[in-house]
Amino acid sequence: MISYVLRRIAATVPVLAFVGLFVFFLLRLTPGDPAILIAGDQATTQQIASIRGQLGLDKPLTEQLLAWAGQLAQGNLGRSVFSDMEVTRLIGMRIEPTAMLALVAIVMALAIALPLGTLSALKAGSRTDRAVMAFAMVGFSSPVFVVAFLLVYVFALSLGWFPTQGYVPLSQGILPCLNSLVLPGLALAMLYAALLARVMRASLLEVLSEDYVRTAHAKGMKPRRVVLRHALKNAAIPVVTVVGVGIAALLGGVVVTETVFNIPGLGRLTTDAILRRDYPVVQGLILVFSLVYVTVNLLVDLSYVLFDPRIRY
Amino acid sequence: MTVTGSVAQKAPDLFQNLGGFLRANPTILIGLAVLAAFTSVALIAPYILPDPVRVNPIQRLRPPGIDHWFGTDQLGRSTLSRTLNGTRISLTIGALVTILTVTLGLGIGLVAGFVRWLDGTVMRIMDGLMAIPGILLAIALMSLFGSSVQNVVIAISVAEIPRMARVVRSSVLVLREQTYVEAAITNGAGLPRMLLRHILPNAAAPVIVQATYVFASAMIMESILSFLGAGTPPTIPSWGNMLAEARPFMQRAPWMIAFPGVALALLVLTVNVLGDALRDAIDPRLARKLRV
Repeated sequence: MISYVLRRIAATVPVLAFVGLFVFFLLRLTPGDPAILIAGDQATTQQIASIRGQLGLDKPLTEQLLAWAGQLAQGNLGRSVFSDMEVTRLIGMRIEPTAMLALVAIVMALAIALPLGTLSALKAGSRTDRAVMAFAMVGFSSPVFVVAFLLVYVFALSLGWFPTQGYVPLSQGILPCLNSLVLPGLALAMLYAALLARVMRASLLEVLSEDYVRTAHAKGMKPRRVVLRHALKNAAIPVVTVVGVGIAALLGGVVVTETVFNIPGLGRLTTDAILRRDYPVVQGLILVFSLVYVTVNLLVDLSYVLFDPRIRY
Repeated sequence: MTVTGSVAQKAPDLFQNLGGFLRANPTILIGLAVLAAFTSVALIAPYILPDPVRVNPIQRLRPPGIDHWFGTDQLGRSTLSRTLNGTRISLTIGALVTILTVTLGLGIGLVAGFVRWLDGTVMRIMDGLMAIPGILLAIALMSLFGSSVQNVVIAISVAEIPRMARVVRSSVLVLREQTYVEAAITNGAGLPRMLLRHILPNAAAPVIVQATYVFASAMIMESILSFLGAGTPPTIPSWGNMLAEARPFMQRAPWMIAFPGVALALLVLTVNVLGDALRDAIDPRLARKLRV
C-alpha cells in the first residue's frame, strides 16, 4: 500500500515537470521579443529594458531556466508586471471565491447527477430514462456562458430571486455568500452534472448485471436493499474517476463563469492577466491550476481502496 | 450478456455498405441532415442576407419583428445575418481543428503504440499537456500568438491532440498483439506498410467517434475564446464575439444573446448526438457497456 502511494506520487513528478517546462518556454519561445510583447505597443525602450532585466531575459536560456526552477522550488512565482505584487500573494488573495465556487458547483453537480443517473439506470429503457439522458445530452452540449445567461435572465432579471452578478465573501456570513453563488454554481455544475449522470447510469447498469447482484436477488433480498447495499457502492469507482477527470473542465469553466458573473477569483484574474499581457501571473496561474488537477486525480486514484476492498496495492 | 437470437443478424458496416448503415441507424441520418442544413446555411448566408458588418445607427437595438427577424444589435447590425454568418466560422474552425487533431493524434498515437522506446517519453508529454485545463492552455497560447482564425485553430488543436493520441495508442496496443499483425511481421512487412494496411483500418472506429467529440468541443472552445476576447478577431461575426458584445445589453436586448446562444447549443448538440449514435453503431465494445 505505502509503496503504491509513493509510486503514484512519484508518477506525478514528470507531469508537473513538463507543465513547469511548458510554462517556462511558453513565453521564451514566442516569435519576437517577449519583453516587447509584455510591455505593449506604447512602451519606452527603458521600460522594455527593465522588464528584460526583471525576467532575466538578457541571460542565456539554460541560466534562465535554472534560475526560474530555483525560484519555483522556493515557492516564488515572480512579480506581476502590471501591479508589481508578488504573484503568490495575488493568487492567495483570489483563492477564496474560486474555491467556494468550485465547491458549490461540485456539490450541486453530484446532487443533480447521482439521483438522476441512478433513476435512469434502474428504469433503463423507460421514458424517464430517455428524458434524463436527453437532459444530460443538452447539458453536455450547452456552453457554460449560454447556460449562465439563461439562468441570469430567468432567475435574476425576471424573477429577481438571486443577484445578477458579484460575490459576497465568506467573512460576511455563509448564507449571503452561498446565495451569491447559486447561479454561477448552477451554470458551472451543468456540464459536470451531465457528464456524471451518464457515467453513473452506465456504471450502475454494468454492476446490476453482475453475478453478486443476481445472488443477492436470488436469496430474497429486497430490491431496494440490493441497490443500496451492493450496487451503488460498486458503481462508485467510474463515477469518482470522472469527478477527477472532470476537474479539468470545471477549472476551465471557472474562468468563463467568473467573467460572466464578475466574481473576483482566479478565473477572473486569468482573463485580466491575459488581456493585460501580465505573463508572470499567467504562468503562475497555469501552474496552480495544473497542480490542483494533478493533486485531485492523485487523491481520486488513492481513494479507490475505500470503494472497492478487492483493490489491494 | 444474454444472447437473444440463435443467429445474430450482422449489422450493415459503415465502410462497406453506407446506405444500409444509415437506414439501420436513423439517428445518424438525422444528425447528418441537420449538420448538412447548418452547412448550407453557412454557405448561402453571405449571398442572400445583408452584410453582417454593415452598421446602421438609426436601427439600433430593434427587437425581432417584420423588418428584422432576429432584431438588431447596438450598432444596428442585423442579428439574423450575423447569427447565420457565424455558422460559417464555427463550422470552419470545428472542421480544421478536427482535421489537425486527427492527423497529428494519429501520428503521435501510432508512433507511441508501435515504437516502444518512444512510448514513455511521448505519453508523459501528452499527460503533461492534459494536466493543463484545455481552455486555459488555449487562452495562454492565444495571448502569445495574437487573435486570428489560424491561431485559434492551432491553440484549440494543441489542447485536443493529447486525448486523441491516447485513444489511438490504446487501440494500437490491443491491435499489435493480434495474430494477423504478427503474421504480417513474420511475412516481412515493414513498419509503414504495417501501420497503413493493418493497424489504421482497424483503429478507425474509436478515432471517428473521438473526432466527432473534438469537433463539438472545438466549436465550444472557439466561442469561449472569442467571448473572453482572446479568440476570433472581433471584426468577424462569430457567435462568441456576438455573445461578448451582447453582454452589456442583456436586459434591453435579450435577443442579441438568445439567437447566437441557441444556434451554438443546437449545433454542438447535433454533433454530440451524432457522436453518441456513431459510437453505439460502430464501437460494439463500448456500445455493449452502455446499451440497455
